Amino acid sequence: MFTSRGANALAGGLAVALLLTGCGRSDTGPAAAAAGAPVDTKAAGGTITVWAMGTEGELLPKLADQFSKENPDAKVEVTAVPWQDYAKKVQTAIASGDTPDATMVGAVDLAAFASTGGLEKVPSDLVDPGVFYPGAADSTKFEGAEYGVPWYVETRSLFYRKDLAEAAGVAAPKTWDEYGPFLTALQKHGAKWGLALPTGAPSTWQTVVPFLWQAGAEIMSSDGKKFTFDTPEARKGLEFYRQFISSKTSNPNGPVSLGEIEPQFVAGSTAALISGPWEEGLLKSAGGQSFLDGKVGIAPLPAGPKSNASYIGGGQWSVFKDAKNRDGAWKFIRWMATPEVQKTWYTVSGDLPAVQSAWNEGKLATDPTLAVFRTQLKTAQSGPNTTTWRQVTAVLDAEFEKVAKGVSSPEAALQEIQKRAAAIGTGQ
Amino acid sequence: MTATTVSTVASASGVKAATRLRPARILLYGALALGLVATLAPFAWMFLGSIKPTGEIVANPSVWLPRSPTFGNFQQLLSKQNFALYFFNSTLVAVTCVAGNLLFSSMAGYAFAKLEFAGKRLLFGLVLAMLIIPGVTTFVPLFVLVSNLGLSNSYLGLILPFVVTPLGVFLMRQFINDVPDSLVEAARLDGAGDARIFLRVVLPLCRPPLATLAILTFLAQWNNFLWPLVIAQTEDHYTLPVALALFSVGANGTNYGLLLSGAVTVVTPIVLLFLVLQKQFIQGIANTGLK
Repeated sequence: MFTSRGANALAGGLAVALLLTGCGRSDTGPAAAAAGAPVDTKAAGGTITVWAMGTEGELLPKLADQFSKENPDAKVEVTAVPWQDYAKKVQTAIASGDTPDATMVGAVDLAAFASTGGLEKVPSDLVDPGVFYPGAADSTKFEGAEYGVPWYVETRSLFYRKDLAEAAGVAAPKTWDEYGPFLTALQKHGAKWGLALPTGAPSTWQTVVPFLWQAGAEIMSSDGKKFTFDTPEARKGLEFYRQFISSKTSNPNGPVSLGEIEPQFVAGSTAALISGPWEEGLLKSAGGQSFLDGKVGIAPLPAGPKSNASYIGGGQWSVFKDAKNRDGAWKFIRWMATPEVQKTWYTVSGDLPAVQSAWNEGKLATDPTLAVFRTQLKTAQSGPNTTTWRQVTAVLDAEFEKVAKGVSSPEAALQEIQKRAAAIGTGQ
Repeated sequence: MTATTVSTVASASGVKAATRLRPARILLYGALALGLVATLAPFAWMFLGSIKPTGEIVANPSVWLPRSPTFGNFQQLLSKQNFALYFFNSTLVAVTCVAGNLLFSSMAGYAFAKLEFAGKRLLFGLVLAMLIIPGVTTFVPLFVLVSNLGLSNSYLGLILPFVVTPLGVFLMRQFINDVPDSLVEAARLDGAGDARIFLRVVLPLCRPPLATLAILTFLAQWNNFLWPLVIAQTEDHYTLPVALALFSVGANGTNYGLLLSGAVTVVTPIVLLFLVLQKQFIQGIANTGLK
């Protein structure tokens, strides 16, 4: 009785599983053309439905109202979507063809979305990619075509305790040679740890890979066909990272969750950290406005042998293949990428404009903190745009953790990374 | 004098009994207290955190009791547009799913347990198979199905996939299977049809598993995040967990104050529900565990 029921259950389960696997979208793989069909310059019309994540989603209606004023026949309907698991929402929508017209996309996810074949290529001549920060423009490309238009950018710079630096009589480091002594000086003035570095938590790579870049490493061959982690430059970068931990400048058990390091920075037990524009808000809520104004300094990342490259992230806009109002959506996106609107959006949301010329006046041009990010953005790079990059980053985080904990040498870690990244491949 | 002696002896033996029991008792109470603290501490942290300013929530070393208690987090939460609507959506979905599960799962359970029909074993095998298959594998096909039915972004789309669950059918079938056949036969001899037997004889006996099923279904739906996130395409169909994620979890940071006050808002109804159904719930778990 039991066996027969078990067999029935198994058979049933198999049948259902087989049915399910047959349901995927099969028409993957991008078409041959390098750009989408052009969009005219007339005013937009019809209803344009868009998804935007988090705060951007909550604030976008303000911008959309202005678009509707300038294009009276067009109406933009914004749905605010949580960042949490938004990629699943987008991919499910693509799989069913039940999509809005356009969606905001986090820079890291573009390749994964584009590879499903569910996104449209950016129309030829919609925007000139040269107006954006180069790192942002690069992050919209997948297999030789553009699938997104940059909207806002973020990058990471060095936040440090200004009061400790002043007490120690040191200025923010400009090069790798000055990096260590600067942090040691802050430690001598009361901080237990000089610099907070991630040591294996998710996205550790976003802080560690820039060390490799700064040393001159290219982690992917120029034709995009293979990963190149086992180079002398990469080793130099990773050894520089390890040296912070082995010299007790950085805690081998780095922060694991968001918001964990700020209280230590406020308390003065950690003297510096590497973070992005949002850090000011976090420090303000952890330490108050007076702390932010009086005790926080910010400087571009110190330069290594090659550069002071940082990681660039941000948001961009993509249009779905199944969009009902494709032309309207692209016109809305084109409008959002104009310098004027980029400036307006900065005042509404505080998001840093992806268009370089939007930074030429107002607070964006004069604010000293923003000036640091502006400098940083010029050399900031994005991760490789391959569908497999997310898998590779998991390997990176794990191997960097081994280096941080002293289980693996930088050389051995890079060999292991290279081996496993090569096995994962670049999806081409 | 005698009386005093007696009472002294009695009290002495009483003390003896107490000392004999004490080490075991202390150990037991100690273990229970530890378990209680471990269970309640996160809840206490959540409730206390919800009335702290963000600076105190993330303070290091951590602060247990709020130094400057505030309802700012709750005010911020309630001032969010549509908050009442999200609460309503969550309640509607959870309550409808509970009602559907109680009715349909027990009907299906009755049929599997007490009726004979062609393909019964195969069908029940399929129900079991659905229990085995992880939800993630059916997620996308289910969405495609619901979307092709034209139900994405509707309450029906939120509710229909969960209105009867394999777990519910299995739970009810196992319980009803143990209801003596003689009861059912006696009712049948008295001329009752299946509907009457089900409603008047079987269902009243099923209170414990029904309470279990109710609370399990309510919990699952009330906390469900991924399905509402995917199926709701405009904000007016969001449920509480989706709205909370939207408000408090950013790309690069989390608003802990808002998150904790939201968690309190979400958890409180469940705690109340559990307190109301506690007796039946525990009984139900105990009974179904013995099968």
